[in-house]
Parts: sequence; C-alpha cells; structure tokens
Amino acid sequence: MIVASGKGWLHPVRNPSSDDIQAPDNGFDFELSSTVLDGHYQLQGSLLHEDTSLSGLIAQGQAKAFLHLECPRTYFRRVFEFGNDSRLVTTIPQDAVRGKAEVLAMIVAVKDLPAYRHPQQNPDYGDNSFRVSPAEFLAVSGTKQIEFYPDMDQLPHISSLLTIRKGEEGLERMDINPTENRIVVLLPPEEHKMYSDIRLVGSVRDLLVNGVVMPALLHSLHFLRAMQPEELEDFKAGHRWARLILERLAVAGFPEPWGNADPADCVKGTLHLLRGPLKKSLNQLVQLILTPKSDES
Amino acid sequence: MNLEFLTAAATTKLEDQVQQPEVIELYQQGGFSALIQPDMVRLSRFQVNDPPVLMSNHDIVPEDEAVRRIHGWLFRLPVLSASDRRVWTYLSHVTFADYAWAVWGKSISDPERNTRDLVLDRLFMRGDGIRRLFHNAISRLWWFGHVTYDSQRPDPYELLPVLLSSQDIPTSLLERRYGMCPGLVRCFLEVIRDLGRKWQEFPKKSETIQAIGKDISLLGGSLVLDCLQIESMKGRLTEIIEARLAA
Repeated sequence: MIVASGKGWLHPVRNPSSDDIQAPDNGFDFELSSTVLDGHYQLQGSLLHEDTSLSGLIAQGQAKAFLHLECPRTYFRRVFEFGNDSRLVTTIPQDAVRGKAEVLAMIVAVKDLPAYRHPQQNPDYGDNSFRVSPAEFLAVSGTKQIEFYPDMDQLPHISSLLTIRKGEEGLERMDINPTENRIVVLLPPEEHKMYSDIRLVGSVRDLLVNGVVMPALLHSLHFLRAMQPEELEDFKAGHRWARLILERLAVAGFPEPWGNADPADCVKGTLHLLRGPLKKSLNQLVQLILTPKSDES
Repeated sequence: MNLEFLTAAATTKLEDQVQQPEVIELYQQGGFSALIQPDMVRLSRFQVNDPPVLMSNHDIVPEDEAVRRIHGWLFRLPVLSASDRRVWTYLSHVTFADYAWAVWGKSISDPERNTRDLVLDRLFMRGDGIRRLFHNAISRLWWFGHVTYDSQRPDPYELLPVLLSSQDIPTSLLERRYGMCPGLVRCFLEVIRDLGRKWQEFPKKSETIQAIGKDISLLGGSLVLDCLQIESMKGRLTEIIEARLAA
C-alpha cells in the first residue's frame, strides 16, 4: 500500500508528508527487520512516534496500531497488530511471500470516535472535531520495501556462485552465461586444462580470480544492469546468485535498484565483491617473484 | 506422479525466442509444444494425480468447470509455486497446451494482433505484478479458484460463477491492489449475487464495474479495508454498488 504524498483526509491524520499535524511534530515511522527461522520469516518491528494522544487512544482500546504488508508476487496482503508497547514480533510462512513487499505502519480507529480532535492538529482545522469511523486512519507512515528470500542470510563465497566448465572444441575465448542457476564460465579447452592443473595451487589462486572470476562477475553485473526493474525482480526470484550478489551490494551501500545502474558501479561492485582483487593478486605476484626458488638458494 | 516445471534458464530462453519469425509462426499454428525439450523440464517435489481433462471431443469444458478441475487438482499447491512462472509456462506449453490453444489460439493466430505480446501474456507469466497471475491461460484458472474457494460453504466454489459472469469483474476486482485484501473479493461477489436480477439485467455492466472499481480504490485510500469487519465491508460495498446502479 502506498499512501500518496500530500494526501488529504477529512480529519487530522499524523503523517510525515502531510501537515495535518504540523512539522516537526508530524513524525510517524517504524523499524522492521526480517530473519529466516524454521521455515518462517520472523518479523520484528517497532513504531517510532511520540504521540501521547494516539498512544492514549490505543491504551483505551479505541485505536490499534498495525503493520500493513503487501507482496504482489504471491498476492499476499495482511495486517499485523503492534502490541501496546509499540513492538511487533510475528512470523510469515516462507511459502507465503517472495521478493519485494511493501510495508507501512498505521494507527486506525477501531471504535466510532464521534468527536475526534488532535491536540496538535493544524490551525486550519480550528477547534473543530470530527467523526472518525472504525478502520479509518489516525496515523500512517511512509511506505518501505522489504525483501523476502529464504537464502538472504547466507553469505557464501563468491566462487560458490560460479561454475567453470570446459567449452566446446573451437571456443576461442571465455564465454559467460549468467542465465543459469549459477554463473557459468566456459573456457576454451586448452585454457580449461591449464586452469584445472593449477587452480588448487594456493600461491596463484588470487591471480586466477583476476583472470576468470572478475570478468565473469563484471559481465554478470552488466547483465543485471541492463534489465528493467520489473524484469530484474523476476530474474532475482529465479536466480539465487543474483539475489545474493545484489543483497551483498545493497548492504555495502550501492545504489538501488541495480536495474539501470551506473556502468561504473559494475566495476566498483565487482571490486567490492572480490575484496580488492588487484591488491591481492599483486601481493601474490610479489611473493612469487621475491620468494627464492629452492634451487637458487 | 510429481508436478513438472521448466528450468528458469529454459523459461527465459523460451521467452527470448518469441521474437524469432519461425518461433512466432510455430505459435500461430498452435505447434508450440514442440519447443519444449526433455532437458528443459524438471520434476518438483509436489505430488499430483493425473492432470484433469479440460477438453472433451475437441471442445473446451466451461470456464467455471475448468477452474474447479485445475484448482482441485493443485489444491495444495503453495501460493509461492502458484506464482512461479516456471510451473505455468510448462503447463501452458505441454500439459494443457490443447486447452490453451483452444481458448487463446484464435487471438494468437490473428494476423491483426500482436502475436508476441499475446503469447507472452497468455502462455508465459512475465513480470512481478498481480496481473500476470490472472493472465496466463492456466494459472488464471487456479487463481480464480483460489480467491473464491470457501470451505465453509456447501459448494466451496459457490461464488465462482459470479466472478466469471462478466470478464470485467476479474479485471476490475482481482488485478488491483485492493483485490488482495482478504475478504473483499468474497464480499463483493456476495453483494453482486444478492442483487440478483437487479444486477443481471443492468445494461451497462462493463462501465459500471470499472466505476465501482474506482470507488473501491477511493474507499481504500480513506480507510484500511483490511481492518473493516465483514459486515461493514459488505455494507460499504453495497452502498457503492447501489449508488452506481442508481446513477
């Protein structure tokens, strides 16, 4: 649910984007986090406001505070009640929601309020009071987005998101396919043989990352970048590697949505995901060059 | 047997192919099942009986019967799977390809229509929004059943004929955010059913349903539909619908 900015009601409603209650006293917000727990998403939230008038109505049983959650992908829409302490702990089955959901917090009348007035209502309302019916808003926050994916809490090594395979005879250069469940990197047969021979040698691992993993990641981030936002959501729903990578980038503060992102962010994102690959490989090179071979000693 | 579905990669590849002239031609001729190769298909863990019959002597069964059969067949399908494009793309292309073609083939093969858009709309399930659930040739049957099914009624699908009585009702009711509100769809259908002949004989149903949809949308902006008691919701909907019929 999205409440349009500047929306007007027939009675004063506390809302950060309206002046029914004048700024700076019109704040109404909430915090919400989601964790995966035993086949469920556990939601924990709290209301953020200092409105003693509305808190009083809740305490008297004339109003209730709810979290409203909508997940269009699975046609899920539900309200969850905050406790009298303004906190919420609830669960949603993992197979009820997936992908992006919209959430907002609100306080609604649950009884008829024949002469409602708010002590801080805009002077334009004068001293008037209003009839408020059950289910009508008394306060509403802005809308936020939350994502539901069962594997969101996992932070695997980037290498677990890639599969490196031998390409067909005749393949001349590396081929990257990001449309599978993992990013598939096909190497020309000769290069694949060399790669297979040395991939377990610890002293060159970071050099290999630069040569194989980095271009694959860069290509894949550009692949995601080229998608329209709606298309990207659909792709994420079916591709774990994309979810995990974009989640890790989001946590690191990269701009969202990734669809239509700045091309430069693909390079920055790749460097972030691989945790400074150039420095790592230069360090390995230095070690290889400076460490004397046994027959030279 | 286990429910089959397409891999995500195969689904994406198939969607991408629906711009190649030879593939478009295959769709226009109804031979699109041939596009599905065995290596594109996976077995889910969801166990099902044999699929229901939706065609009888080259005729399709009536839509409400098709809904009952598909929803009954996949009754325990989690909504997460019921919103998964891989499942419905497979069922539309293979298991119920005949039905999908019988219902939508005329439009798809019409040279005046945009075949690509129609194919992607009716035989795939693209995007992330609500609309896609009710547009795929087969998923729409399941979702029509899902939103109307009520185990407390002697006939759990009692409200289904009301939903299908006008093609504008699913569009105006289910493809909007307020349609996701639990209880609203059933209340709306009950009000329509209870109006009886007054509704059935009303001449401008299409325009009226669209106007009613806008009214419900406005109502949802002033109060929280989810917090209305069932009787209050029915009362509000009755007021809206009666007012439109009287206009």
